[in-house]
Amino acid sequence: MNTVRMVRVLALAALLAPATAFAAGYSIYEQGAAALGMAGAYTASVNDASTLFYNPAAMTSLPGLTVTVGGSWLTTRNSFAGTQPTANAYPGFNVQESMKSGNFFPPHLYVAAPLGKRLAFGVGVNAPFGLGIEWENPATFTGREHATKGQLQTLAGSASLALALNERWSVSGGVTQMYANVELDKMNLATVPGGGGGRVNVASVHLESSLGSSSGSGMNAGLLWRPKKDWRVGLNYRAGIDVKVEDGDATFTQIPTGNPQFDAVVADSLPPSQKVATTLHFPSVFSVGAAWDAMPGWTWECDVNFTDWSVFDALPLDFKTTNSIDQSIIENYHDSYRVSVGAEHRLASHRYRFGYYYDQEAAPAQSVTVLLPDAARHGVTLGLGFDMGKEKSWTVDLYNLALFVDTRSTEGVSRDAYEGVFKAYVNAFGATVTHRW
Amino acid sequence: MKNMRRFAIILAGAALIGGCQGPCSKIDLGAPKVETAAVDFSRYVAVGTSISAGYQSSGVVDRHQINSYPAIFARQIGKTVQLDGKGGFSEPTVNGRGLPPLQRLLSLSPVTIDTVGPAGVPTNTTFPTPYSNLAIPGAVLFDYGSPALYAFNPLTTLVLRGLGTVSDLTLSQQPTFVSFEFGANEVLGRATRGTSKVLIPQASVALFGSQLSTAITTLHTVNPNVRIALANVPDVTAIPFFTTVGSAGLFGFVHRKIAAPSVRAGQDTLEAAALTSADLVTLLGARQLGLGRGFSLANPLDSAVVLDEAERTVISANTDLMNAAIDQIAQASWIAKVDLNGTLANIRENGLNLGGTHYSDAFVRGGLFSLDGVHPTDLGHAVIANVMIDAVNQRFGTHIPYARMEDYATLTSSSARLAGGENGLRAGANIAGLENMVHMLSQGRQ
Repeated sequence: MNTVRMVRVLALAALLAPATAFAAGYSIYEQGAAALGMAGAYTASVNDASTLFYNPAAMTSLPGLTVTVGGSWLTTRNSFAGTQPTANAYPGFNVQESMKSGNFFPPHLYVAAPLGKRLAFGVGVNAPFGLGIEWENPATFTGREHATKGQLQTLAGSASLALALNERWSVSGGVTQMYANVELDKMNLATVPGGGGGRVNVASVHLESSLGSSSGSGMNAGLLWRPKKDWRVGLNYRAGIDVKVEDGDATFTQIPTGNPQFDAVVADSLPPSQKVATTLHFPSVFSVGAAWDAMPGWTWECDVNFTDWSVFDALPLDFKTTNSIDQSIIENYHDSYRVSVGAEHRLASHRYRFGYYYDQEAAPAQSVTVLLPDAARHGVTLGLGFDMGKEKSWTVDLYNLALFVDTRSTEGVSRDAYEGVFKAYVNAFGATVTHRW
Repeated sequence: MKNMRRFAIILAGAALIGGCQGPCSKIDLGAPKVETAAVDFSRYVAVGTSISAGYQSSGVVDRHQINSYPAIFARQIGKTVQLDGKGGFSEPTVNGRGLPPLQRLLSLSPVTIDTVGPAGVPTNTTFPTPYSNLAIPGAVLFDYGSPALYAFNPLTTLVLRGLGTVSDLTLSQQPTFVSFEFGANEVLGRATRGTSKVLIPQASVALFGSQLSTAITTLHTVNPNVRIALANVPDVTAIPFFTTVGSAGLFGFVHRKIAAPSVRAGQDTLEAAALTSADLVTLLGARQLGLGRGFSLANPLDSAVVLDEAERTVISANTDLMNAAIDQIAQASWIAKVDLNGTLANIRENGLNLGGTHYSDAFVRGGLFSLDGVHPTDLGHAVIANVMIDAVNQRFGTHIPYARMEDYATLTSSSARLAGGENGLRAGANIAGLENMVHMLSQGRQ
């Protein structure tokens, strides 16, 4: 399979595979098996082509043309139980809901090549942000008027140039072009006139944009410093990107109730299918990490990532025909951090890795919703790597991540007046193959 | 290589089942926290009016009786409430279409509501003890201790079965907890008839305070450990029966008969005059408007279908007097006041937001009032039950869980029919069954 064809396959996979959010908000930090074996603490010690994501400045450390390709198998479990902090809280105490179990396969591909002794160039394709939720029994799901299914997909292509200033310092700069699409399903409900307050589904709403039509761009920069032989410090910055979706499709489909008079009233009030616009905010991420070769065969690294989630203050929905239903969903996320610690032990036949990270939640309690049930999370990872081939030019890395998501309460202040606690668990298993020439 | 293989097996195992037994399980909060030790709820008796009886859409029927606010409260404190009226909280249930047959919505444009027979029959007449729910539709506080007016109200027989007065049957159960709700009919019966006149001296507001004090004191004397949830009196002129047609858009060119005071006592007459903005045309007036009544001085609306400003003032003043008496009595540490008046005012002002849906006091479409425009739907009863739970928890230090509102939101508030869409209600509305309700509210008081 040539490289161009491989890129096409990966792009298609990213399109077809809904991603779920694995880091706070809707970012995805799972972009390489070796990195994830160390809980993503890889900004300073990265030594494969996933450096395009973790720190492009480290490309100058790669020995030659390096191709890294892989993906993850992600399984998710999400559930909800209602609480009733007030008399009118909805949906009520211990009303239980579940999401469909998710199985996702986000891919990544990176190519890095030296350009002389001090320069290196690389390109990468990955999905740095994503979200995928789908609640079971959408026709009766108690939160269906807010969302029954939501999907955010991204496909980012990046190109970076790295320069080794000397043996200790390397810097990089580059650009990222990111495509995004969004999809949202929900139900419209109405109380039955003359009834006792009972509600029925009167319409389904489907909002969708196509991936290829909406994109935005941003820059990236990295730095790698080797203050001592056994120490490395890395910095990485990926600028925020806004993707303006101008030609999304909003489809309103009436659901007959069996009562012609009522249905006629609903039909009169139902907006026509039309175009809808929105702006998707993807935050900037700044990472700093320090790696220490503590003893022969061992590398330890600690990273901190800061994500500018405060850019996600609202999700505007601008309907092109029926302006009266325009809305701006207030999110008011706050900046968050992620701390990770990982280690790698290199043995003669293989390497093993382990790590832990804590990822702070980005959403305030008001914005913990059925669409984005954000919560802090604790990741525990194990990794394994081994070299193959006559000249050990092939490397296979594996990882497993057990992601324990904190149970998150809406604390009685839910923006959607949908009160309860959300629970989630994610398991990720991934493999990356690297070939060095 | 051996180590690597072992490690790969561990990784694969983690990938497949990776600690997923606990974290993967669905969240389950278990049963709600219930703490009732501070109050003995073992013998709960409810007394009151049609509101406590679960009367709605102009009748009583088992499927709504089991969702009256006392029944919901009983459920929340762990009692069984059954459709056959038996169980831990017993009731005088009626089957079928109800007694009288409940109203049903036939059409939305124009609004057409009818009643259909045959009437349901009582299903729990042989229950061996007095019912836990002794509320009687149409009852005034005087009825609590006196049988003098029982003969005028067939629903009294349904509830009391000739075994004694409400007071007798309450005390005979040696209740440890009582919900006490009277006062609405003292003003509602008159208001629905478009008058403020006191129709019977026994139901006068002047007597209300002393009658209430006697009833409550007796309960406490017989059982000093009794705890009482005492409901106050809502402003009855704020319900859809009065506010739906109202006067907006009508005053000035619609006419009604109104009392013309005479200098000679007892010789007031009726004269036709233009409706004012302070008058309230009742739901009964909607039909007259539909028939062309009221649009000339020569053909005015009946006085009985209009609550005029003077009548409203008297009713409001009387409601205030009764609530002042209730406030005073509710100072006792063993009484929790249930603020029905404040609850209705809040719904009138703000409606009710539940999930993403806004409920209001609007007739037919609001979701909180039944088709008679006076009585709450099951969802309205859940609202009251939660207000009562709040009052009891705050007063007595209990922790009774709230009722889940969504459980009481039903597709029909009447006898059988799923209602359709809604259009404006004004002239042309045809609402049958209201006369029965108005008669029930003022039985024997003409």
